[in-house]
Amino acid sequence: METEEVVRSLVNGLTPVRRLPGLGWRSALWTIFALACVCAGTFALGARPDLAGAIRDPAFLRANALLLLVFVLSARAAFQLSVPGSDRGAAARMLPLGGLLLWGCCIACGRSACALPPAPISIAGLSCAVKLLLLGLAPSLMGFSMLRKAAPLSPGWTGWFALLSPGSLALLGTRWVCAREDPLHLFLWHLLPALAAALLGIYLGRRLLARPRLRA
Amino acid sequence: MRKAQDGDRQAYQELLVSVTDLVRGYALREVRQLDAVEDVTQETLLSIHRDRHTYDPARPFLPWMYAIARHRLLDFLHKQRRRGENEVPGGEGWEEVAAADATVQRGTPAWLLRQALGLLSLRQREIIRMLKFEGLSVAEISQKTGLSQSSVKVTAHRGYNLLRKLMGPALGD
Repeated sequence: METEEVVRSLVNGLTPVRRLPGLGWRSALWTIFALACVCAGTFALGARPDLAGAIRDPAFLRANALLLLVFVLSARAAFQLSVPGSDRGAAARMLPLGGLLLWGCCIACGRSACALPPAPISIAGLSCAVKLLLLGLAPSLMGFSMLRKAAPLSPGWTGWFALLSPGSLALLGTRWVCAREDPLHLFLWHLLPALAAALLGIYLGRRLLARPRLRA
Repeated sequence: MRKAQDGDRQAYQELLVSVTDLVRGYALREVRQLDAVEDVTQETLLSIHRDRHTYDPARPFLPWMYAIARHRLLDFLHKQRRRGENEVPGGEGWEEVAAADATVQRGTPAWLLRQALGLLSLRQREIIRMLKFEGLSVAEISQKTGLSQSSVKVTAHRGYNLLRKLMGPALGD
């Protein structure tokens, strides 16, 4: 088919469309939904017994603020990537991952003042990973459904951020639920599942968010 | 594009015609096969049509459009590399243009004409070549290509317009 014929057929098939709401609005809507879900989930799972002491610890608060920043940055990146021409480039893509790795460094370097004595690594820590996945499930589903309505041109990256964002928020939630402070436990049962979920997001993004190639 | 989102066909037609020229020029810088340029152009137009709801009228149109074009171009190059098609010699007619380029001094009107001809659709280029270089009549071209005479005239006219638009600024029109 000639390009001119394609143009003609597209013009003939033109119908009014409902514009996608603005990037800021969609990001804000999803952020509020995710925060509400994780807060409700954390409340349902029950707060850690030493929470009153933990929230007075600057290191704990700093680490939580970092996770919150990763959550907001990666949500913003996912929604930016879902609209053609809004991508802010490689630096904006690396920033959330950098934040998460910085969080890992904070955990490795700083031992909280109210830390419980380190316990041997056991499969019992799996419950933390399960809690993390449960906390992040509803925001992830909502995020994917909102992103599918847009047009992500880099579905892998979009999927990565779409799961990194709820993953980091769920990571924050599990820190309010789990009282264990030993770095190995936090790496193995908190950080790794969040990163694994984000990596799964690349696959899911390519499967669920890819824009198929069209033929005239 | 804002008008097109509201269903204005006239505005959409004008937009797509302009987009076609821009995308052809863009694709031609990366792909040296005219068929491939047309493929990328058509896929970009279809993607723009499908994703037109994502355009935000508060933002500039060109970054949005070029992001889609770039994605379609990369997608095409990726698929072509996978198939190993990049080893196949250039598309129909391109070798002539490229060979001619080598003998014509860069920046001269003849060079500009060859560059501009490369940006026309295959049909436009062929018809202009037959009319102006081979000296065939409209009736003969109609017979040779199977197109109606009016279609030959319209295609040539559009080709001239595009050439004028492409070469005008460079020649100081």
